[in-house]
Amino acid sequence: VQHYSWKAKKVNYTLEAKDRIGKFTKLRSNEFHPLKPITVTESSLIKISHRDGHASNSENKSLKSHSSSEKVDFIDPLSMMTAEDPLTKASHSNRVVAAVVNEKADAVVDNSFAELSWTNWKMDVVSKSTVDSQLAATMTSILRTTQGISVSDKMRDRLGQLDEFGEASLQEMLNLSQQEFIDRIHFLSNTLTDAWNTNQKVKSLKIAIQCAKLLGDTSVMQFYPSKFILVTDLLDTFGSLVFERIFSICNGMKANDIKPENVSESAKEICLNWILKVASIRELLPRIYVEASIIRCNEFLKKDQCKSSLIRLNSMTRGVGNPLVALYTRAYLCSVGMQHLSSCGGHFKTCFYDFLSTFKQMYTTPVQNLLAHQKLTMESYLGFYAPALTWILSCVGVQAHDATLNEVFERCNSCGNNQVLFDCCISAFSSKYIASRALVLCTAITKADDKLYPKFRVLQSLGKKLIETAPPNADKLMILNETWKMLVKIRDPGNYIACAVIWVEYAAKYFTQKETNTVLGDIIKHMSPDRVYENFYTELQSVVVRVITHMTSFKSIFAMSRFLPFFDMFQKDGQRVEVCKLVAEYFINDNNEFVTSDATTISGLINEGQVSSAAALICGVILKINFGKDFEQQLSFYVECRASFSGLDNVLATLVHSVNRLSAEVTKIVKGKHTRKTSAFVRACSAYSFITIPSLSDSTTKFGLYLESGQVALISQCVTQADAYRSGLTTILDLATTSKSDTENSFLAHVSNLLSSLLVVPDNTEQGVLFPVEELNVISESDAEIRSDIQCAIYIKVLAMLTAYSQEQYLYHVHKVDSNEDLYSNDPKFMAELSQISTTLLNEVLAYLVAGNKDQKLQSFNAFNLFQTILAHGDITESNMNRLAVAVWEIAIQHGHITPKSMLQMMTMLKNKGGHYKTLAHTLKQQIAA
Amino acid sequence: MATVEIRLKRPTKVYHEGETVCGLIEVESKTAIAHQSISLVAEGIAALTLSAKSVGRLESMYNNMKPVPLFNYSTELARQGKLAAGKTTVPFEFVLKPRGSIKSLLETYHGVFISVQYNIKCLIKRPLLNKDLSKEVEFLIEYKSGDKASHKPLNFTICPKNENSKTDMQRFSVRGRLDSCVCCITKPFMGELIVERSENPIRSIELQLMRVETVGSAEGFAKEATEIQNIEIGCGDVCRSRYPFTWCFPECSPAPL
Repeated sequence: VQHYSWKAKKVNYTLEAKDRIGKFTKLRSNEFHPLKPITVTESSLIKISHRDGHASNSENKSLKSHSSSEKVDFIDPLSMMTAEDPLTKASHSNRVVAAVVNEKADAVVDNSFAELSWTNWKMDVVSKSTVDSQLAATMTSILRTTQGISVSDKMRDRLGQLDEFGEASLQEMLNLSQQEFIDRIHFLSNTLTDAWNTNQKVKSLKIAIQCAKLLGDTSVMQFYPSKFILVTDLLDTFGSLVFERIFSICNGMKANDIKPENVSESAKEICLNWILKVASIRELLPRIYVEASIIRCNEFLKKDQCKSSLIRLNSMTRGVGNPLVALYTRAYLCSVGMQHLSSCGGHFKTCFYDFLSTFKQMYTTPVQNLLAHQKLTMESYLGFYAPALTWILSCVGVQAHDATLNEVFERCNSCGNNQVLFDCCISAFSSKYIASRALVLCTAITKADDKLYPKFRVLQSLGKKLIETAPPNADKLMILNETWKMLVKIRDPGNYIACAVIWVEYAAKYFTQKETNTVLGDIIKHMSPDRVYENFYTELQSVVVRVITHMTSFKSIFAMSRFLPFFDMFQKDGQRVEVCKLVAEYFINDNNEFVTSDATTISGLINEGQVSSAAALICGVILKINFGKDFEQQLSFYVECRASFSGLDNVLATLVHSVNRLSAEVTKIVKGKHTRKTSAFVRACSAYSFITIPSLSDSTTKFGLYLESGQVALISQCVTQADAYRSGLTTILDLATTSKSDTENSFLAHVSNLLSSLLVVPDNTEQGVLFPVEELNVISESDAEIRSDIQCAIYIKVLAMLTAYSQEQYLYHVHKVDSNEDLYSNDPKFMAELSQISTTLLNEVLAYLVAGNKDQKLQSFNAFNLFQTILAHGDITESNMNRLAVAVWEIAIQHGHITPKSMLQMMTMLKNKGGHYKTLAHTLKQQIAA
Repeated sequence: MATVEIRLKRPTKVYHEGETVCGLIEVESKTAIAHQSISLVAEGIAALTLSAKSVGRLESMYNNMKPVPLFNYSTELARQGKLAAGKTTVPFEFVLKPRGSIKSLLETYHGVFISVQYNIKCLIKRPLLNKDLSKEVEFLIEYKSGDKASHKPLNFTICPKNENSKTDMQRFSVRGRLDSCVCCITKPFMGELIVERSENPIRSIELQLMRVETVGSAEGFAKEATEIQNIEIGCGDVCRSRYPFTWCFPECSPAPL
């Protein structure tokens, strides 16, 4: 192997930069550049998106097409698409249809809306009133099942459900019979459809009647609401079957626009026959229900016939003796009314008044006896009324004038024991109406002396409505005071907290921290005795959620003296973590810039829980916490965090990043001129990072952090700290190579980054010239662990760096930090040192390149690399170097791993450079030919 | 096998006096059929009917009373000939006019003892060895709606009157009002009921619609009351207040469900 010595090229960076800029401008001004139109559009695009931020893609595209072609007749297919997008077209036409429909039925409730609310209501009832939660699930699934499911599926479902029920212990009997009931109804429903499809219409009618009959039985009242829903579902199916049948005879008519005069005689006859058949059902209750279910058929006979039938049915309902049964019957009539004829405003009101007239009946002896027999309290009995009553009242409330609602309220007020009525009125009417009248209602509730229906329910409903819509400003406080007076009196902690959960939100939404604080205090007072809070963690949690959702800033939340004591109530570990997480999440989502001196309390809160699962969350919190100008406080907060989260790598990394940012920020603020205080601070920051990094386990992260921290230390002018990093770095190099050999590219990138930072790091006077480079020898010493090709690649990079070192003026500087150029000012001794190291490295590399037992492909690539380095950094005017370049070229191309294309590029590049390079190119060309 | 159908133009099959009944006779057959004549007879008869329920005097009257023909019409739609295979339709029409001495056509009525019925019968006479084809349908005669109904409200009170057996009878009092006691059959029957008091809980309130049939003869009048329909208007211990009730009269409708 021939011995070559490295001769570095001298570069004047400023001159070169000028030259480069000149070239660029020349390129720019070239008018015939093929890519020019595109660059122009691109820039205009950028401008556009800058200007209005959210310019949509399609818009941009159309703009682009516009600007890139001056031709008018050119149509961009993409912009065509946007113009005639079938989807938008469809939705547009839909809207038009909807508008037309709206116009036609002005002031008429949207049918689908009614349908939806009815379904919602059903779901609600099922979840509330089914005896057992499992059963509720079954019910819901039944309600949700569409008709598409095959019978076998259903069977399997049902069998599965039965298995589940096998485990039930106490209520088994009750459950079993209920489950049986559900199955029965389900079966009947199927039979009904089957019978209908096989033309046994009388049979299906009979089934419908039988089912409706079941509603007369209130032997298990808890189940009544669910039963009602099951049966009415079946009846609805029946009703629509009948309607469809008659409708199918009237061809060419729209379902929502039936003109009786156009209905054929035979259809009318069939329709009439149905109505008469149903009207002659002997028993009252089935008659009402079945008639109601097919009420829509009246449309075929006469306009407005429906309405009069509904009114007739309504008055028939007065004959139902049992008030509960009667109420639910009315609820069904209302739902039918809502679904089919929206003009029946008055009808709903009569329904309600009819109920009021039977209201007294609930307190008569027969009902009381029944309750005693079923072991029900009056409270729960009234609870069964509430859903149906709410439904009827919400029907009354739809598009009603305030006067109507006032009238309803007046009527309620004049009844005795009217709390249940109040409750239902409040939950049924629009929140706007309720809010405007909240204070009046509040006093009415206070005055009421209803022992039968629990006040807290009423308060709950009121609170919910007021949260939806704010009451008048003047009343807000008064309402809160009034309600809280009542709340305080509630003894049962379950009832109390159920109510408090809602009112605390009211307080948090409309008032400042002071009021909310008081409310929280009261909750603590109520929940603390006998550790009752242990039973109400979910409620307490929702209190927290509600408070933090509505408070404007976190500052105010933690300014509340009761908030942390409130937190102390969460004593079960899992629960606590859960709540802490919630708070943290809200905290992160809070968009306001957050500046507070209390933030440490948050970290206090968080680190009390087990945090391993929430590392990302914590990072978010840390990034969010900002003490503004109080940097010391910020740093000490970071220190505290480090202490709390020592086990979490993610968090530690975030902390290091944050500290680095902090340090850089300080440097930026003082504009590079540190006072004694600030320099102490930035040094502390560096020390922090340096201490923190070693405890990380992932070496790549470590390496990156070291690098970043070192760079920050440098720009913060903490040269000694930066030195310290280097010693860390050298150890890390080993780690990085051994553990991450598969990701060598990123490793090499890291190394380049490191080397380029090293350029500006001044030598330590105690450790001799070019200490860092000496340190790099570690690599060669541990060559057993580093693959030789990587080693070689590193050496080539170092060569480049050493060249940079040898310049008179370095390529870049750090403000206020003197680099080696100034330390040595081109001292010949320093230069000699440089060239000696370079030569050593060069020979190491060459030795590798010509070694026989290595991967030839990698060798070729490295040689090519070296060749490029030589061209860029070597002084090829020197004959020695010139020969070296030729030799390296030879090595590079000898195995044929370098593509002809890249060779050609290289040649062109050399020729363009001119001078010595051109001659070199000539030599090389000859070599290729040979 | 050939079938004969009579189709009236009016699906309700309800007609009033003086109107024209229009319809078609439809003969459907896979093979061509020869016939001697196609004739149509329409008639209305008021008669006593004999049923298991009719006992006593009415039964004895049955033997003496002859049916009273109210209306008669007959015509030959086609002379001897042949009907092609497939569907053949023959139209017909006639005017509803009372016969002879009868002043007006009575309403159709199907009672237990008495009935007033109007029928159309079609007969296709066929040559020897072939069965004659025949079909009979009923059509209904109604008075023009509300012709004879009048607004005659009626108040009533029901309370136990039997003073002797106080122990058995419950004390209660029910008042009520019928909107009219002469009603149009196509309109619902309406009224209201007020339960004023009842000592014991009420189990059910029912309305019973009765028909009273009277037959007069030389020997005097015979009157029988039978139930048509029973309908519940209140179930359970209803509130002590007023209940309006509405009730559709049962109708015999020929239409399918």
